[in-house]
Amino acid sequence: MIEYTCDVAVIGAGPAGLAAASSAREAGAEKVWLIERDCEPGGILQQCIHPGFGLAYFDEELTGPEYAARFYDKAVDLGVQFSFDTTVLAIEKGNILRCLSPRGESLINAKSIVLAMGCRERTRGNLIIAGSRPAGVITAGAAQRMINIQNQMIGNKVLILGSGDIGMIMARRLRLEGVEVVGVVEILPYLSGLTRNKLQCLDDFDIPLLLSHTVTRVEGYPRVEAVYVAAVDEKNDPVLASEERIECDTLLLSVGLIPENELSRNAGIELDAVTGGPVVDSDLQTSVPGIFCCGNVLHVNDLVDHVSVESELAGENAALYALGKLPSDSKLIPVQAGHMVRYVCPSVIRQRSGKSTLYFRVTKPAKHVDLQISDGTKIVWMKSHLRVNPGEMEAVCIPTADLVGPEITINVLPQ
Amino acid sequence: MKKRIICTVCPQGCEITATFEGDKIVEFTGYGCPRGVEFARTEFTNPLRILSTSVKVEGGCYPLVSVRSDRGIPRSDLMDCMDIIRQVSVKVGTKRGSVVIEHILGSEANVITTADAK
Ligand SMILES: Cc1cc2nc3c(=O)[nH]c(=O)nc-3n(C[C@H](O)[C@H](O)[C@H](O)COP(=O)(O)OP(=O)(O)OC[C@H]3O[C@@H](n4cnc5c(N)ncnc54)[C@H](O)[C@@H]3O)c2cc1C
Ligand code: SF4
Repeated sequence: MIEYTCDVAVIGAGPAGLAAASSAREAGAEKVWLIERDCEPGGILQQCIHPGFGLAYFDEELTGPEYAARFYDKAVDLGVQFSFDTTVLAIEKGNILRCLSPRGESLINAKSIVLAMGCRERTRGNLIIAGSRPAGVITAGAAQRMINIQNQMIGNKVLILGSGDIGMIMARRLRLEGVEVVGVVEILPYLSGLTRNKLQCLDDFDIPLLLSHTVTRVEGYPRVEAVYVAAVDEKNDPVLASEERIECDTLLLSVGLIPENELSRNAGIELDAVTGGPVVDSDLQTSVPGIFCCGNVLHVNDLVDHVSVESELAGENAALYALGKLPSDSKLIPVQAGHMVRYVCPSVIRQRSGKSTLYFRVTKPAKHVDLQISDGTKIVWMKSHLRVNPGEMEAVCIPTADLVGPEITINVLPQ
Repeated sequence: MKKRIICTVCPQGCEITATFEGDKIVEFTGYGCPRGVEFARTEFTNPLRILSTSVKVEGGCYPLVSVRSDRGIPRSDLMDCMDIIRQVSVKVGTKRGSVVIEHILGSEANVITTADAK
């Protein structure tokens, strides 16, 4: 078997991997190797042909392929080495990648590793929807790939379950292609995606949004003929008396993403029960020294701009680690999710002179709140928000040098 | 008459109310900054949208390449623009950023490719 060596190996050439690889080169790593199982770079952005990317990073509205191309071009210019059609099968002994490609199996011995594998979609199996098992039940991302890349239409009359961004984006895409979209059904009492997408994807095309409702069963064989929809009570249990039969030939599922962490788990990396991604410190280093993590494999992001910034930090630190320059002696301060906060990433701050960015999500929508960070002795940061929404991730950058308390807590408090 | 809209310019998400007298908007309330007024005014008078879709590639490995309008198109014209875009195709080798349709529907907007046609 062929064995190679490199300074920094990056797994996945989506926006996270591309940004991490470039910044690892910029931080001085000599040989940076990006490994991607697809035959093209860009990850999920290849199929996200809609605009809405780059407003924060480039102050310009780009489509997914354009956003990815900028990062790919930069990585190529900086001399990042690429292997496409190559899947990482395992991370062995904390620093060796076992890879498989049409050329065969190989081993890459890396001084540090960046995990950037993205996530995959939750399916009907994850939801346990009753009824027959016909063709025509498909995840929104799979439909997006079929329509935008493979030129295949998925059906004529579609019902969408889940008001996440991918579902709403697909509702508009289907409408533009002349497909009937009967509605978007959401189990929660509020929208799970961005307000902008409701406005431009649903309202623009008069597509109804049914909150506090869910799909109770699927009918038809060998193709979907109808889907039953019912209101849910406070416990999210369907109220069967309200069940209604909706005729359609396709059920599109946009019901969340799962960080793709089989590699991480098998490598012995500690995972967070809430995010499904690795537990990391503010250097974005996982529990296995020398393995860093960024993008959707770390926690599901709604804006790619956040992914790029976070991944640049992971790439830079992976380079410093490979060069033996990443300080490991700094004081560790744990970060806790407090009132109305579902999770905070990273979960530990390494106290140094610089700043740390904390990403978090609230547990439910609210209006007129104070976002407040305390270090156990005093409030170190505070800001008022008109509204917060679980679908919109919050990012806060705080200086870490003068934190004195034993732990950091983020609270979201009604005013 | 009053119409309400949530401003999507920044994450604050102000709920802006426009008061109409006939076709004219006489007052805006609820906005957090002037950008919100601009947003609500265009949304209620002439909302513009970037249109993104894909066109066929002749002789490529992939059947499609993605395209978009290079500026906003009136929302009411989106479906008519789709009918025009559906008629065109590009040759393999067409580079990202190439103009596929000039001044679609007589507007200022050109339709450009957003990836290389491979
Ligand atoms: C449908 C959809 C619409 C979106 N719309 C928007 C939007 O409008 N605006 C916005 O800002 N953001 C949007 N996002 C979010 C944004 O696209 C993501 O946050 C971003 O793509 C995450 O990047 P990533 O690199 O972490 O993951 P990905 O893009 O998923 O890339 C991961 C890559 O890793 C590769 N990989 C995985 N495992 C292996 C392995 N074992 N070996 C080799 N390679 C591997 C995969 O093939 C893939 O290329 C959207 C996301 C989706 C899914
Ligand atoms: S009105 Fe101003 S502050 Fe309010 S959401 Fe719009 S841009 Fe943001």
